[in-house]
Amino acid sequence: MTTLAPGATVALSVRDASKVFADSTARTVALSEAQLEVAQGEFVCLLGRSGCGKSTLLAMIAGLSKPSAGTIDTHGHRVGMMFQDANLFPWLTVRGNIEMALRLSGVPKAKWPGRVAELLEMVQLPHAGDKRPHQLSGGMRQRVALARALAQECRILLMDEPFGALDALTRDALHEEIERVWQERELTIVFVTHNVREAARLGDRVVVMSPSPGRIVDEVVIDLPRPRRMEDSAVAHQSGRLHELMDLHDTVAGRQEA
Amino acid sequence: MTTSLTRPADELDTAVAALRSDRLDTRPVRSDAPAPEEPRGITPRRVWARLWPALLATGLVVGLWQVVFLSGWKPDYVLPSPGEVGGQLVAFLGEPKFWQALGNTLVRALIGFTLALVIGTTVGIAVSASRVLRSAIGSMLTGLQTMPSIAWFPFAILLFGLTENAITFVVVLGAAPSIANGLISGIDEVPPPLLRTATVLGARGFTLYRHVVLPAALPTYVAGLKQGWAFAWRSLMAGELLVIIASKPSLGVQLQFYREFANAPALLATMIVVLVLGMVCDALFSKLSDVVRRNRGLGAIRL
Repeated sequence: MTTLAPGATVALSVRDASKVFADSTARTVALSEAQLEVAQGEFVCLLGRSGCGKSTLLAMIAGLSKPSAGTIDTHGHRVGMMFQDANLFPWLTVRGNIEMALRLSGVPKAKWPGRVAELLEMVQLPHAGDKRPHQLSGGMRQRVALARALAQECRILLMDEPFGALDALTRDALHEEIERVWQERELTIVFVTHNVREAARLGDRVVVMSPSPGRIVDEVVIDLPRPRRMEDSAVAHQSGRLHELMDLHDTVAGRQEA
Repeated sequence: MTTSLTRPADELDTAVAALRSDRLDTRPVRSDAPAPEEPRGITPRRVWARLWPALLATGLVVGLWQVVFLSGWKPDYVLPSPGEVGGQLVAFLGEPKFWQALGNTLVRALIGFTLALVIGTTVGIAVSASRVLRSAIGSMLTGLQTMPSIAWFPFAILLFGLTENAITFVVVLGAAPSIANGLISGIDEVPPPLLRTATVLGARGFTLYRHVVLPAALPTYVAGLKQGWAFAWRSLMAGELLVIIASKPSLGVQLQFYREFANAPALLATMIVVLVLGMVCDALFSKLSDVVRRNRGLGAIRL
């Protein structure tokens, strides 16, 4: 079902990945036999309502949990991750947070100042190094979280609804930001969202997921020029298509259950 | 939407274009701009604002004391006037024996608290890291915390005799459980999202502990230290009253001594010294806790 361009290098392969949470009373299939291939440099959005297993899939790609069945292969690429909350370490300054990432990936101390400056420049917060996380706005915190994830030279960036808690204006600015950084750094991004328009705004490809059991039901290639904007009529049009598609899958699922 | 715009469309476009090109500078002034920073530093006005309620309360207590004294409720050799006790306090400052007693008490407090710190921290780390240890001694620690430390003294005296060790033993038993419990709850309450983030960044095992878990647990640990100090100070005073070592003056011995000689002004003056020392140390721990919490953007708390 995956439609990779011919000749594209695969950065991430998910084969038959399932996740089952079971205890003595209940057995929940959070994700059922997901198949996904992501090409190097591709921006893929996982779209679906809550309970469709998109965060479960992302956590397994990040190595935070193991699939109950199936395999996930990141082809030796370093994986970075961002969450809905920036999760900056509150006892460290912005610089300290980025340095922690450098330390944990074994970058020699002498190189830290240069790398921190470069990363802060990249997320357009060149003067924020000495600030504490609580002194930053939500948008600024996510920029620092992005810088921290990129400090480790990750090739695959996983984003779990990273802009879900931000106001619309800040979110638009960060969309531009992530689009720019993705292009500059030639990253592979898997971006989880429940916002249809955001998926159409950002994705090269949108993978549609559906709940109970969580699974991948469809995918749509968004063939629009970049940079895009949330207000573009073409983005609105694609977003409308995605909506119809999701409704369709819901109807089919409903019929099956009935 | 368009009807609410008062300028022509092309003018709006120009304005938008100008703003967009200027984006870098306007960025921080977004709707989610950070809260303005609290002013810091010590000014006379701030010091006074903190000081006057305490001064007023002290004045009220002293005033009430003076009224009771004047009412003649008790003879003045039992309940002296505030002025007389104040005079005795000043007289203490010139007595080498008082300084010796004060020094001995403070050294005991320091030794006892340091030992409790080392033992409590070690036990805390061990219990939080091992499920077996947790079920074995986790609840025992809480039990120890509720045990009045003075109840340990008869046993401590049996074990160690009337020695320094008996006092230290009880001070450590009083303080260490609070310190251990503070560390354990601090570690238990580290937010899981922080741990997930650290794991994705590659922190494992000891590195995760050293760089993420322990710093995240610090505010609760400091709260435990503060409580541990309060218990240590109480246990020490009880110990000095019960375990009287000849030839070794201390604040506790001084209290006993002045009671036996019915020297009420000196007795009360010693009590005031004990009170003030406890308050000063407590304030130091509060300050430490405030600094730790402020760095993390947490509000100050009063424990």
